[in-house]
Amino acid sequence: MTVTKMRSSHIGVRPMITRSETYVLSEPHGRDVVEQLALERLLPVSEIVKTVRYFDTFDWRLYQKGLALIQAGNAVYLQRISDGEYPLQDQIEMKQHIEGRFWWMFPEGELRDTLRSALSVRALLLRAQVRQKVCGFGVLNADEKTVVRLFLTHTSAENRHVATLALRSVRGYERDFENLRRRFRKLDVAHVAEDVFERVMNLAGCVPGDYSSKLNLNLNHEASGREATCEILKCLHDVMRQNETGIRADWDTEFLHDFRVAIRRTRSALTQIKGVLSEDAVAHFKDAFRQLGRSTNRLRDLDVYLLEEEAYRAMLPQSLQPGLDAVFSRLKSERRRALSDMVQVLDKPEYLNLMDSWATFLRGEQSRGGKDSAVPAIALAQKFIFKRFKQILKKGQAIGDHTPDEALHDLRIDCKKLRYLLEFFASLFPKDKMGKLIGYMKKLQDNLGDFNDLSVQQQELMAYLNEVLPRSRRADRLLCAAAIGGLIARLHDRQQAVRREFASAFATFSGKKNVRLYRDLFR
Amino acid sequence: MSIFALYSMKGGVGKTAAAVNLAYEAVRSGATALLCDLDPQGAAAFYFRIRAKKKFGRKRFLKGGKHLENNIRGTDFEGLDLLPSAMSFRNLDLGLDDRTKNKSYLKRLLTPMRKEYDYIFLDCPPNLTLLAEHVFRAADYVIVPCIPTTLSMLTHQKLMDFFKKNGLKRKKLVSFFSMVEQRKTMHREMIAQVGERKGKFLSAQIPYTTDVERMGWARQPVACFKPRSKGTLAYRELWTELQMLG
Repeated sequence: MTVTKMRSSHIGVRPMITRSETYVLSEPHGRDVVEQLALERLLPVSEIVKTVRYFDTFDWRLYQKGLALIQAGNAVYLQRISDGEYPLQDQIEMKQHIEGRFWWMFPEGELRDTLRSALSVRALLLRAQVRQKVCGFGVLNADEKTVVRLFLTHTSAENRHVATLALRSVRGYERDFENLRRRFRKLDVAHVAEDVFERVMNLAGCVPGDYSSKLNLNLNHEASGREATCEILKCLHDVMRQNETGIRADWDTEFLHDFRVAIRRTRSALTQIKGVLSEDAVAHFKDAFRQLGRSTNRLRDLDVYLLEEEAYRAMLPQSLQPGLDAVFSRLKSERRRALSDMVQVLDKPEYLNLMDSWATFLRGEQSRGGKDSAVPAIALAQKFIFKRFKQILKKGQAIGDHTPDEALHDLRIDCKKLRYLLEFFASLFPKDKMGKLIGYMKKLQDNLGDFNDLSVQQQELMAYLNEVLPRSRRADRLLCAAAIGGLIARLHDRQQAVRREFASAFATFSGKKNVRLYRDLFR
Repeated sequence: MSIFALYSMKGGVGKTAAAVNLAYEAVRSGATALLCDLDPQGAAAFYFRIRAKKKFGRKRFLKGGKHLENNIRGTDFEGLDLLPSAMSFRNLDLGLDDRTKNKSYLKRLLTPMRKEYDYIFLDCPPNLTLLAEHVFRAADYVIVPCIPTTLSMLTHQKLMDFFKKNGLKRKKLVSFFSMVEQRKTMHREMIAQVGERKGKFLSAQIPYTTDVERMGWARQPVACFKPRSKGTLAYRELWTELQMLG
């Protein structure tokens, strides 16, 4: 049974304690169940037939938060999955299909605010579509007053059906609800179900949570280095393939991002986990993935600039802002070209061959491998992680206020490598400690990441100033130059500030607590 | 969030019928509402087939908080809840007298409910006692049904004077014509003179119809058993006007 503080679909907020319980019926004729209970005082109240569409991002961001976005007819609303049929907040009217929308394409209000924090830059995709017939009944007492509400729902998709029955209490009549609940629990044909949402999604051939950009591995503690490495790489291979469609369709920028991260992780694994796979093959695939990675760079850079458009504009006074119009319209048209280049890469036989041969290699590699392939994965992980950690400590301590920027860039790459190693082998070590490690690391990585992003952005703008503008015949090219100049100055300021924070970020990382954790776990 | 009190010094002018039907209309239009029955007759609860819990009475009501909230009961209509009255409510005045000097105790009792509901309707007993003064302070609008007769208009004038004398905002007072019989000359004349009178009168009128009377037999808001009747449409129109107020 769930007791939920619910909010109404109406004006304002209506917190109200309502109890509910949902059953899955084992036979298709739910009405029989109702009759079996011999509820003589049962009043049919409503009957609604509707097509229900469920939306979520590719990586199930709403589902991960326990939410579902639903469009039924013209009504669009969010639902807390554990609550059954109650909208989380005010529903909104939207005639248009919401597939492909981002949070900012919704009218202002609570729904949009929730979507904003949940979706971030990801687009909504249609995940499932079902037909639903909902019959509402009131269970009456001797005064013919409704004391419990009962909903019989038939959901169907692609010739599959599921029948569910939900009981909901009426305020002030909780005892009647409890009595009815007890009777239902004794029935053979009805079973309490907590996973109604998942069942409904499965009907439509969809498995909620089936994709995540995170590496959700569960490595065997006895696994050999070779087995573990192959499993990690196979997982990354799957992530690449899963994102191809989204890149082609250009639903949002994160398909390419996840695709790139998977490539980077693959390359990192090939470089860092030494002596496990056969050396010739490693050299070949490392090179192939480096080239593939390189072909994604330009599109990603452009995506990042365009995502930052609002932030860039906000950095400038109103008078200079129009100067950026030219920059962004150029970036947009360049992005169109970069996208079609990217799609071409995916369509080329080279790419398909690479993926096929890679998958075949990983399958076959189980039985071959390098000199350390039989060493337990856990021992290898400890060796590689601790070595990298020591290296970062040494490099980081050498950085002072006057160290050249290159040293920071270098350190960033090393941190990333360490982070990847930790993620690859996380399931072999205690979860809580790994969580702490990642936490200590995050502050440092964020600092180094920001530093790098800010310097790349300045370079890009400088290039525009040096190469594009002098050849431009735009009437507003002076304004343009001023805007870019202003932006570079702001970015430079921020970069300096980030650099000043480096010492404190590194102090957390190199602190006693963290060092002790690494020693305990990896030495 | 607004609190509407259905009030009249006279009995039998259609207060409870208005309270029940207006609360129903509010919920029908998508809001949530609580109907508080302050009249010991308990007619509002009767219309919704609700019986108060046995132990509920004046004392628990006046204690407020959980003691009050636990006695709210859902009606057959989702979003519409009711706080039933009890016979002991006939002595509500006594309890109120002990509690506060500034006559705002009822307002304080209702405060937690303001968050929970979009509208609260108070169905008041027909007299001008201490309870009525608490009601006037708690309500955002005091809605007065008036039968268009000379006597009714006289009581209406008295109520306005009372408001003035006791430093209550006369803007809160909103009236409408109830139990209107167009075939009666007096009714027509009284309504025609409305422009010359002080005080706000809504333009919607509730006609005298048997449908409204039959609520006692159907034990439902009139819209549920006579969805297209004159009574239903009149209450709907009245609700539209009230909604504009707040």
